Amino acid sequence: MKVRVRLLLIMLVLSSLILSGCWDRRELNGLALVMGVGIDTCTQDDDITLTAQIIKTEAMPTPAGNGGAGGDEKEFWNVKRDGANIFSIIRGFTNEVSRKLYFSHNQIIVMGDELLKDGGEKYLDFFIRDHEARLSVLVFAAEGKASDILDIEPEITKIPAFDISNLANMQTSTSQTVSIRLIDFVNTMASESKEPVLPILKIKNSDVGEIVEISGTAIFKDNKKVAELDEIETRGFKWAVNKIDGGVLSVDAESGTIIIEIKSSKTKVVPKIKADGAITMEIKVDLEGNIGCVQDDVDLESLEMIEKIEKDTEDFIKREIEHTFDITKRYGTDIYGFGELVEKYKHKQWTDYKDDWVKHFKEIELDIKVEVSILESGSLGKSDYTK
Amino acid sequence: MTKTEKIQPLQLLFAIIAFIQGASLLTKFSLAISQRDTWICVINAFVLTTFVILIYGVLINKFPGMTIIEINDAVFGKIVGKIISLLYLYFFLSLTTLNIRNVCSFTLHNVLPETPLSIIVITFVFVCAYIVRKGVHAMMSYGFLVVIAASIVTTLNTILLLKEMSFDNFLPVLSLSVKDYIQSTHTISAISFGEIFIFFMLMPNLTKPKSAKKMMLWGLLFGALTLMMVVLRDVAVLGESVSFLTMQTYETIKLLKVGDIITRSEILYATMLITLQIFKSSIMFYATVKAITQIFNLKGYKYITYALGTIITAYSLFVHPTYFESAYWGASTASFFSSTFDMLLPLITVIVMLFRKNSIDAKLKEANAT
Repeated sequence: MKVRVRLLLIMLVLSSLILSGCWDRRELNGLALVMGVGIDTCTQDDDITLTAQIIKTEAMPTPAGNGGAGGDEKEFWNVKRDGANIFSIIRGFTNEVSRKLYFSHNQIIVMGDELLKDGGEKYLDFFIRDHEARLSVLVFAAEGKASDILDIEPEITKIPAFDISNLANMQTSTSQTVSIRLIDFVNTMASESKEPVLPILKIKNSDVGEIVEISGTAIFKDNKKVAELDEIETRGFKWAVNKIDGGVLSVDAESGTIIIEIKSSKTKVVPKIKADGAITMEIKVDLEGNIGCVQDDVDLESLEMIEKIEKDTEDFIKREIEHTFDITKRYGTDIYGFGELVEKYKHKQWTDYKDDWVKHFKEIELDIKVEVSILESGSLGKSDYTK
Repeated sequence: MTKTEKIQPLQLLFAIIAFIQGASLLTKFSLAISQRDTWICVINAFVLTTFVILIYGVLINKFPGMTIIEINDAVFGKIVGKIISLLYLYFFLSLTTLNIRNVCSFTLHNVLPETPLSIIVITFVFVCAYIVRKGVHAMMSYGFLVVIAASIVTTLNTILLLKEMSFDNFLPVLSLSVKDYIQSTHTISAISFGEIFIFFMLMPNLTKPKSAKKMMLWGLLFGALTLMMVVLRDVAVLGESVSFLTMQTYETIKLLKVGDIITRSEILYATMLITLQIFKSSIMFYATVKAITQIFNLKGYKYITYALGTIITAYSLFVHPTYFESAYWGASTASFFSSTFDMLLPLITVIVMLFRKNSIDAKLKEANAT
């Protein structure tokens, strides 16, 4: 029994020695939760400006109603700091912020336009390497400066970064922007032939002041931003990479404009190589849609008419895909990953192409087949119900 | 030997499965070499290790219920046998150390970055030593629990990650050089699978010593299936980056996101991994202690456990001062180090045994008679 008591005492003493100073304790009131990060080029040479959006936990309203400092105070704080590399800036923040920056909840990384034009991918290293950061964080390109985007307070929620990440998640209903996680961006940069794309954040003037919108896609060549696609062109890109989740197509049919709602869409791309070495990409799109809205007088009761609409939609999608492809061909940037497809499915021939892929990419022919089936017309059978 | 120290065949099976599942921390060595084709290497390694276990089987059948130390004495004679046993002791001690160091580095990097490494190592070694002192029976009951927990966590994570997977990532198949496949296969079979050799030190505790071979084969099958699932999932989720990230499985699980509800489940994985590693380390720890006891003819093993724990603590603190050295060791030397002891030496033992069949038989008979 005595031995036990002695053991217990030893354990108590030991635990008071070891457990009292926990090195990794993280109290919520000792953390600065970073919700978003913006990276810009600095006015000085070689330097960058990092904007970290920190939640002001004390300013947030509590359920009891007190604690929140009125309705007008901002609930976030954008700290900005210049430096030569991300890590020294982040550590440097401790000179300005009295709490330790905590990156596990980071939602977005926004990169400034100038930075992307010079190739800003090297600054992402920290966000891959650091143990707190997550590879599922969303990456964006800013139209101007990333810090300006993060400064704009949203109308619906209080935290800009949170709002932007929600905005990105809503994009499945239009399929007019891309949504890129850090892991996707890293994978495309690691690829031999594929070039990355990023969604663009723009500042829009509205009657409530400035708001942020996601609009268009930045396309890259050799990891430097070279051009932008608008919404429709982005959709043309997304058809070809099987990323269409939903959205509306306004198809100009013979008898008027018909708005088709995309229910589901599936794309299969198969590379074909002819005997003379010419590459053809066989793109097969299978689309199911409903009639979402009709503003002209169209007879929806005849099957022939529906077939005609389907045919028109097919041509419409075909044109969209071809239009975007022409743009990427002009810049010689393979954002589709066609090179990867050749590498994966025609591996033996890939060695002939890989050294000069840009040249071969520009010579690719598309063979697009679209299969549209319109399933329903909604609660309205006829389109012209007015007499 | 008291009654509680006996191991049932089924307990051995679970222990072996847990042992191999614990190796999922070390997939980075093979994934870095064979990348998207690692699943092929897992199959190759499985076949290779099956043959290795057949070699073990020869030893198990010839010397049922004997540890490798006793087998060495019987096969090579007293003096050469002791020298070889000392080499094995070095192997067991290093394995224990490296294993504890690996899991401590993992904890340090991902869970407790600010805590000094020594505190983490001391805690781990203390827990392992405690388990070893509690005896084989306690260890085995623990093994059963961790296998169940680990299997559930791994399967659940895989199912929830299905929507993140892209099976294009496995293409093109067989595009690397033959050397890479051989190296990766060797790494998997020597490190992840071959280390079950250490169960030779538990042979005297088996209720049915001759069933060990069968249990090793079944354990290998289930362990390999888990490893296969992990490797396939990681490649399917991570794609290209599987070859340059250092903690593939951890990063994969960090990507798990079902709505906004099930996220950040990597801590579950970390807990499971640490639990598995504690199990693995304590088996290795036990083997080391047992080897010392048998080589030096000590009575009982319990009183040297903590002493050995101190050695292991010191050893694991200076074995690889930096991550780079441990990565280099893992990528270049570790597999050869392991395969020397868990493949080459057993093979030599079997060959020598066949040459000296008559004198060994005579000795065994003599031992049985007395």
